[in-house]
Amino acid sequence: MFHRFISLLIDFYEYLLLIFLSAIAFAVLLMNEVPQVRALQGDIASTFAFIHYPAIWINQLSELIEENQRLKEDNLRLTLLNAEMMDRYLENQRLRQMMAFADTSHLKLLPAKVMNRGLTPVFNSILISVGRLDGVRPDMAVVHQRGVVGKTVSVGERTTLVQIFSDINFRLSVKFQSSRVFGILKWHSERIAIVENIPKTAIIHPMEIVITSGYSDIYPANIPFGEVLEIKTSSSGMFQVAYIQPFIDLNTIEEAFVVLK
Amino acid sequence: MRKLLLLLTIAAITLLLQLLPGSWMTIVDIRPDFVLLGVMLVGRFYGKVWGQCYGFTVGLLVDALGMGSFLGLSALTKTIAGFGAGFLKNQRHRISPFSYHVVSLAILFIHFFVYYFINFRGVEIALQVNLLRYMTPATGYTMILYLLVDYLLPSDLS
Repeated sequence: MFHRFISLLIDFYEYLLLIFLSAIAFAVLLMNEVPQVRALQGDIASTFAFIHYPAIWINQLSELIEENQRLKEDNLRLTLLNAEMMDRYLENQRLRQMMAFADTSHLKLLPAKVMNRGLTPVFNSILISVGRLDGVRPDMAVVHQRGVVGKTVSVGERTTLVQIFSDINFRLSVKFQSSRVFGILKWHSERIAIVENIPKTAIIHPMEIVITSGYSDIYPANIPFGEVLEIKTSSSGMFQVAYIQPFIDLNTIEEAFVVLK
Repeated sequence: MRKLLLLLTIAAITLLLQLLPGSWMTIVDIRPDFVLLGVMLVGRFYGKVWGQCYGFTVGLLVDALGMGSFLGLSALTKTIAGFGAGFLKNQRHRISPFSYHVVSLAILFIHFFVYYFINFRGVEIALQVNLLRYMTPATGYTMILYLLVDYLLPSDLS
């Protein structure tokens, strides 16, 4: 009996190995939210960050000339804009003082370079060039000049994995800027995000800007995310669903800022 | 020892390819999976055991280096792909080219089917859309490269 069992094991060892490895992979999948696993992942990413360097070096080289030209143009444009903005800023300061408003725009931002855009077929993470030594911790907002990018998930010593908004587990508390309706935004597909369960009484218009609500512990208020493409009635017929086009094209993002609070 | 060195070299080359041309060759969010090509080749040359062990290891590394929500997903799908590719060991000249390539295509498709199916769980995206928009294009894109690599490489490493 025992010998028969052993010979059975030997005959089917390839299949048993498949079951064993698949079971481990499943177990790891189920442990995704365990903080220790996240921390380990951050450390692995940090250790192996060097494999991204050739890609970064080649990318930087090829983009240098183009970037130089673009920066020159930006410099001229910004110089002109700066003079105008200074005027507006001073006016704004005066008005703020008059209205005794607290200045809420002083976020402490840490600039970071995007080192890679992930290896998996689905683009749902980026690795940035700052980490624990720079003061980054898990669950910090990551933003760009044009809007929300995501949040820090696994923090290594000098690099950090960022969960970006195209990850299907990403959620963001948002409000529609004009109609003041609140909702939870999540990724849909085809470069579109959605906000579901909007009351049918709410009037939301296409092209309306969507910004962070400020109700989250992670994301400060009023950071833009995107604009409304269209509104549809939900499949149940009881709510509306808003389809949002993000302002940021994640395929082209090169820099980001971590909000250090 | 020689075999391990070869596997490490394949892993290093495919990871670098995934990082450089892999990101440049992205077409409407679909990119070829060079790491999967490596898994297919290892399975084809060394059989089911090596194929699935290599697939599991390199898949886990890809997950750890990438991110986040689905740590273990690439390990799972690449283990299956490595196991499947093991069936092709020494079969290139034994079975008809049509059957050989249909099996290769089926393995790639199963890999992407499982990958995208789990990745898009809980998302309001119909399976048909998922099939047409993600699974089939990713399979086709990777298959084209696999055909090329498979044609260029010898049928047996020994």
